[in-house]
Amino acid sequence: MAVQLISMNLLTLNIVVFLFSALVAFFISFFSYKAFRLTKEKKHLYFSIGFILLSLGLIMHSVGNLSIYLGIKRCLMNTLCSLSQRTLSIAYLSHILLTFLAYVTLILIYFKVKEKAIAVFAFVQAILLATLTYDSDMFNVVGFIFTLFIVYGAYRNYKSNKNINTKLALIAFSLISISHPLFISNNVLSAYVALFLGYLSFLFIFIKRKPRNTHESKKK
Amino acid sequence: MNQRRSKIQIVYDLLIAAKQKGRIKPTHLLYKGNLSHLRLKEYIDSLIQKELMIKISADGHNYYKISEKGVKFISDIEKMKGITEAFGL
Repeated sequence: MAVQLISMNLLTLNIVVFLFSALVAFFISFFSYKAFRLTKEKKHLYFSIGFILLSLGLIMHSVGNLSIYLGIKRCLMNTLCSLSQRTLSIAYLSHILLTFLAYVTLILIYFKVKEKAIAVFAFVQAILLATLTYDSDMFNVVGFIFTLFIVYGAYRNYKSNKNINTKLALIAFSLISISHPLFISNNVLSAYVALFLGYLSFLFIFIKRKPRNTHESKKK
Repeated sequence: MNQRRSKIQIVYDLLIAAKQKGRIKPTHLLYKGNLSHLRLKEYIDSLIQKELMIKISADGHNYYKISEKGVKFISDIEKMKGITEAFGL
C-alpha cells in the first residue's frame, strides 16, 4: 500500500512536470509560428515544428502515465484492476518518436543544415531509433546523445552572442540533457527537477527585462 | 562586429519609432529603420497589410501611424525577439 502511494505521488509529479514542460514548449512553438507569419522566414517555421513535436511528445508521455495512474487508482479502490496496455504502448511509442523527431529538428536548425537529403537521412535515423528503442533506458541513452548535440549548438550560439537569452537557452538544454542520464540511474526525482528547471529557464526568455544603460549610469 | 539585424528586429524598430512619434513621415521611418527606400516600402506595405500600421494624409504629406493592433503586437514581437536571440535563429 505504501509503495503504491509513493508510486502515485511520483506519477502525479511526473504528470505535472511533463504537462508544464509541454505547455512551455507549446508557448515557444506558438511565438515561433507567429514570427514565421510575420517574416515568412522558414527557419521560424521549422523551429516552431520542432517545439510542437517536443510538446506533443511530452503530452503523450503524460497520457501514458495518466493511464497508469488511473489503473493504480482502480486497483486501490478494488474495482477493475487493469492497465490499458494498448494506450500505454501507443502513448510511449508516440512520446519516443515525437521527442526524437523534435531533437533532430533542433539539431538541424542549430547546425544550419540546409541539405534536404541530410535532413531526410537524419529523420529516418530518428524514426528507426524510436522503433528500436522502445525501452526507457535506451530511449534515455539515445535522447542524451541527441541533446548533447543540441547543448553544443546552444553553447556555440552563446559563445558567438553572449547575452542572457542565449545563456538561458544553454542552461535549459543542458538541464534537459542531464535529465536523461538521471532517469537511467533511477534518480527519478532529480530528473524531474532538472526537467522542470530546464523548461522554467525557457520561460524566463519571455520575461521582459529593462535594457542595461551602463553609459548613463556611469555618467551619474 | 555588428550582427545583421533580423527581420523581427527591423519590424520592431519601425513600430517603436511610429509609436514614439505618434505619426511619422516616411523619411523619418527611413532614418529610424536604417533601411533603403525599396526595403522600407516592402516592410511598410507588409505592416499595413497586417493592419499593424495605418497610412494617413495630412497637410499635403503622407504619414504613418501605429494601429491599436500594432501597439498590442509590440509585446508579442518582444517575445519573438527573445526566441530569435536565444536560439540564434
